[in-house]
Amino acid sequence: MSAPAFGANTQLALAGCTVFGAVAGAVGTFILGRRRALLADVAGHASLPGVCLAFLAGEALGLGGRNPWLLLAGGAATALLAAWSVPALSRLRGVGSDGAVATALAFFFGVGAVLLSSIQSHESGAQGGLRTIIFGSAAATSRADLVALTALAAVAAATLALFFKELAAISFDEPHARVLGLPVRAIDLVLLALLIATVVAGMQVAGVVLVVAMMITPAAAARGFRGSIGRIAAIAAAIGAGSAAAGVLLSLRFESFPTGSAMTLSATACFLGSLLLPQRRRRGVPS
Amino acid sequence: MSRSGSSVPLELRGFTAGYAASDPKVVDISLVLRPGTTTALVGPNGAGKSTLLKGILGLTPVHAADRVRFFGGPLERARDRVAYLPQRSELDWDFPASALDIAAMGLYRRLGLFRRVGRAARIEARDALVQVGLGDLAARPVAELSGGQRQRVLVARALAQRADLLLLDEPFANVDEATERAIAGVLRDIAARGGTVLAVHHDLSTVREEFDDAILLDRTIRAHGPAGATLAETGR
Repeated sequence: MSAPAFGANTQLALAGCTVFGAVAGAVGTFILGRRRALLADVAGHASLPGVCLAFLAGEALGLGGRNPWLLLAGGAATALLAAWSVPALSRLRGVGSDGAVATALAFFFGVGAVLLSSIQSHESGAQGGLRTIIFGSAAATSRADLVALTALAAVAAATLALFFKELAAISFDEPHARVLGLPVRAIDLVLLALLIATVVAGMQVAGVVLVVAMMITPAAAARGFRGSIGRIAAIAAAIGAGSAAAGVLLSLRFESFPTGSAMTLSATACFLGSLLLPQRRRRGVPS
Repeated sequence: MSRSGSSVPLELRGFTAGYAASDPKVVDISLVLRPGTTTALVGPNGAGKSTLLKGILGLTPVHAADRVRFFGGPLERARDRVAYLPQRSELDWDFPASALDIAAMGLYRRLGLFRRVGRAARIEARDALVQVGLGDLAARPVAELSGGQRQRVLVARALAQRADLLLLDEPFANVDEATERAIAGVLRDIAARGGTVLAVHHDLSTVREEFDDAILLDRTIRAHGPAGATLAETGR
């Protein structure tokens, strides 16, 4: 076991992951509100083949396998493809929306796993590979990563603020929003773009398997509080940021602990804590 | 409520709709609603009442329509005048929003994209809640409201929109008596101001007292006229 790298690297990892956790919690609140949590799960898993293809393409083109922009683009491309495949599959007779989710997730992740094992078998040194992409690692967070994550946070916050009321309207009552003439499809595309951006931003630190947890678990915990969706999103952002920071510290302290797992477990602890809130048990009168 | 366009709030001719083209739920519907009236849409289970409302509003596939006119034009030009209230059970009542937040959604079209719900909009939404008797519960999360209170919030949303054609799907289903009275009163007020109401209704015993007209639907229109005369055709 090597000594944990406290100092500048730790600060970068902490700052980057905290920003990511806040974004994921806020975006996740609207994904949960629109009942798209499983789509987020599909997108996370489905980013794996894209990342692997981007890695291979980078090596072939002489850009190096770990070119960050190439990896982001690759992950986003296959995540988007999978997200688009779900509604198409669910329209097939006898598949249903849950069957479509499971089929798409398994297919894309399966392809990714094949590509990943082939990359690992040809890998010269573990350092250059993708071994942490499954469950994430914050250890290699660079200054460029922090800048990119902060930029994403700004864009996500601005987008949520701009489309706040339309996102709420289509989440609560889509037919009414359609009759009112709100651009439902466009707003769903905005939400999908935020979802994919959050997935690819988080896949390095949280890993492709658990990145969905950093969107949904803080949001689910925040729903235990009373308040309108803006307040819930702010609470989810705080829980996400805190869980991510706790996860980084845990994974640096215990080196065998992948960052994504540590973040997820921290968020889950917050969720379990939220079960103690009185709000959780006081359900409305069923109508 | 004088706005541009024809005074006929809704006109359908040769209207056929439903999910499957091979088995449409409503067939060859022709009707004209008069302004200033409330109309109950009645009929047996599976008669296509909800499908008719959804089809009119473009929420379910329409397979044939010689004419669908809102105030003399297409829905696209009348969206600010038309309010739809889906069945209460179809909505996500766990959504984190207060009664006021939901009522204010009626104003979203008028506010436009990227504009926040400001003070003026909140005042309008609160006024709408007062009209349905929920002024005291404006800040209450909808998850904590009763079924009847939730239904009144939806009516308040239509009031906030200042719509003058309301299409309601089962507004009186599983509501308490106070809610039924409050909503029936609001619908009558809307008609008295020149507005028009078409509501899917299941309780034949209250149609006569709560609505001016009735449409008896069973895949197609069996009768349409004053509530008393139309119900006489059902043998009630």
